[in-house]
Amino acid sequence: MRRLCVGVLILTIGFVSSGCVRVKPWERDLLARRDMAWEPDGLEAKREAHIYFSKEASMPGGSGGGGGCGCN
Amino acid sequence: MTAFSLRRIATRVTISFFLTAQIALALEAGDRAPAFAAPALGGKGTVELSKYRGKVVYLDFWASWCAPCLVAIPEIEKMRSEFPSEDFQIIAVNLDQKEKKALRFLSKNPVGYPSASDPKGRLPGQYGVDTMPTSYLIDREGVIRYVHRGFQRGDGAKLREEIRALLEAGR
Amino acid sequence: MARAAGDRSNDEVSEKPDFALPRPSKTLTALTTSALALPGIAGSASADTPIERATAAAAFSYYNEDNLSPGKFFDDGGGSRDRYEVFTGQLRFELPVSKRVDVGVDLLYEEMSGASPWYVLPDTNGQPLQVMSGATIDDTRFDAAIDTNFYLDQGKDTVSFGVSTEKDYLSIHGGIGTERNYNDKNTTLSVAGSFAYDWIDPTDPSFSIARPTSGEKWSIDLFGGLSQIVSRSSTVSFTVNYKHSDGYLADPYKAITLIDGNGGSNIISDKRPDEKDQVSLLARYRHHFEAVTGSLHADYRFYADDWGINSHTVELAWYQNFMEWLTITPSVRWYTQGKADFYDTLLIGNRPTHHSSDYRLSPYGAVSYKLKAEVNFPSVWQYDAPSWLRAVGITDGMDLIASVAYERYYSDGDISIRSVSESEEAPGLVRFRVVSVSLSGRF
Repeated sequence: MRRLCVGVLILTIGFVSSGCVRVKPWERDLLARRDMAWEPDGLEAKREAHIYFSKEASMPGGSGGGGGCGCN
Repeated sequence: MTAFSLRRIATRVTISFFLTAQIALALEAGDRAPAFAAPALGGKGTVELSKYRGKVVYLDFWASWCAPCLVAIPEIEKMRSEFPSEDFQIIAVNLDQKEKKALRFLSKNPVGYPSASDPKGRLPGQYGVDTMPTSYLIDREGVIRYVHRGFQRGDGAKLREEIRALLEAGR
Repeated sequence: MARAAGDRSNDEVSEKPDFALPRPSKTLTALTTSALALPGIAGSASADTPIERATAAAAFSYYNEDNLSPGKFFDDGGGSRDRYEVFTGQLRFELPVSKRVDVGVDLLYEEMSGASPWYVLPDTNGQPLQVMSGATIDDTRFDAAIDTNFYLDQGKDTVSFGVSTEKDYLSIHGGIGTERNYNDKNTTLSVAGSFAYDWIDPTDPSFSIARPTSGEKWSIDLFGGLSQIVSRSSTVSFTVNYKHSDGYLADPYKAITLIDGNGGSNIISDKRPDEKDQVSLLARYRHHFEAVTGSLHADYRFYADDWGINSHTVELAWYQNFMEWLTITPSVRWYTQGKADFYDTLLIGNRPTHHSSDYRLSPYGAVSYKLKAEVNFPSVWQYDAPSWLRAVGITDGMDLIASVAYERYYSDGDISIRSVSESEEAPGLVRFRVVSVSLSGRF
């Protein structure tokens, strides 16, 4: 299990640092779609996270940026 | 496993160094604007940059899925009527994969300047566009004088200033 | 073991039985699961630039838990099987402030009522049954939060602050975060930290000598995330969240039965450690299938804390687009958690330092199904805004999005990935449904 985690981590770093898949700013039409956002509906995400947080033992994961239309 | 992964990382890092060289191509003020002839959006005729040599040209790269691009268009159209058409020309290059979406936007927001269609993105590649939208102010000799990245409401003021300066310079 | 109604004793300090306990006259979502909005971390939009247009969004939802089934209910004449019902209203506003700054404001108002699990007693066969509190009067929660984003050439910084309050507690939190783009904006790194301080003032402090008349806790939350564009139609992200909490972390409205060697029993207060470390790892994938104009969302979360709980969550959603204005989204969520080290339905013979019968710390699995429909009306109307409206980014035309959604959630010991014995399974596991509607507009 531990080896698998380390392997996945190295693969991810390798993949990410490679930059070999580089989508240009004008090729981001699909990524700009509302349904391709990490959370298309912010209010829904907050509400759901709160419900699960209140009824279960776990902590929600965070939210970050990236993806999207790359405008600016 | 570790040795193999290290080699894999090293390879990828090396490749990425070569690839990062690509973005250094972004054209800036002082560079010559690459000439082009592209089919017009909607298929009727061609849009050629060289046809407007002798005029100050405002070249705008846009797409229908890019929110700031759409905010820019009505403001650019407003600018068009403020400057004499024999001295000032606006051309746009649309980068939509599907022309239909661009045409639909323009039918609701008509503009009086031509838009070229470049779904394959060859022109933004040549100009080194790194942000959507990006527009270039090109002087009467075909040299880029001002690059405007992104668009916010109120950017029109700054653009008008730059256009006026270039129009004056030509006299 | 039979128990006469009203024959209760509570002691924390000594074995001597104490005064009779009134049933708590109100119920509350556990204070350990604080109701504060997610600690101020940058909003969900992958914003690269200040928003160009002001937006406003409103949502209303109704949450309703199934009545506790009679087979799980210990009827002592005072409790109610009628569980929680919550009405929630939310508002969010986003405004561009300048070329490089925008601001978001979140407001939430909630009304809650219903009975909740109190402690567990065995039935004549030794199977655990849930004793419930009585039906309650309404409690209300109010949350307000503000976040400000400062945009840079290759990223953004965020500062946030918020307050959350209910009748018996107050929480304030603040945080900062930053996001940076690399590789032609294909890679985004984000880090954030937030701090929260809560004051707890349980109602009915005379409930027992053991219930604190007030308590406090603080927590610090650290977040790190990496998101990467994989192709023109897909993205992946990995995030890590670490949280440390310190202070009063138990639930003053919960108790546990202690059965001694002689067959006598006492009810004692829920007691948990006063520190907690939690880690959450989240992997998310988004892929758009052009041929069918549909997008897949796949999320996996692993959670572990130092109270002994591990959990796994998998969420899958399919966003199916029709004619560009309608999106139907079915989704499913699987959840499984292990138990806290000090969780037990009942204490028999021994009395460890920490003990809780709270079903939220018990081993179980849960499944939920959800269906959402969203309609998008671009440019509902066109108008020429006066200059003062234009100054805040409201010019002309308004895009509207309306949605409605339904979710159904079941939890059960049998759905857990590890087997859960009958004596371990909390009788108070919850089932609920949520109906929500929302409306949002861009000006």
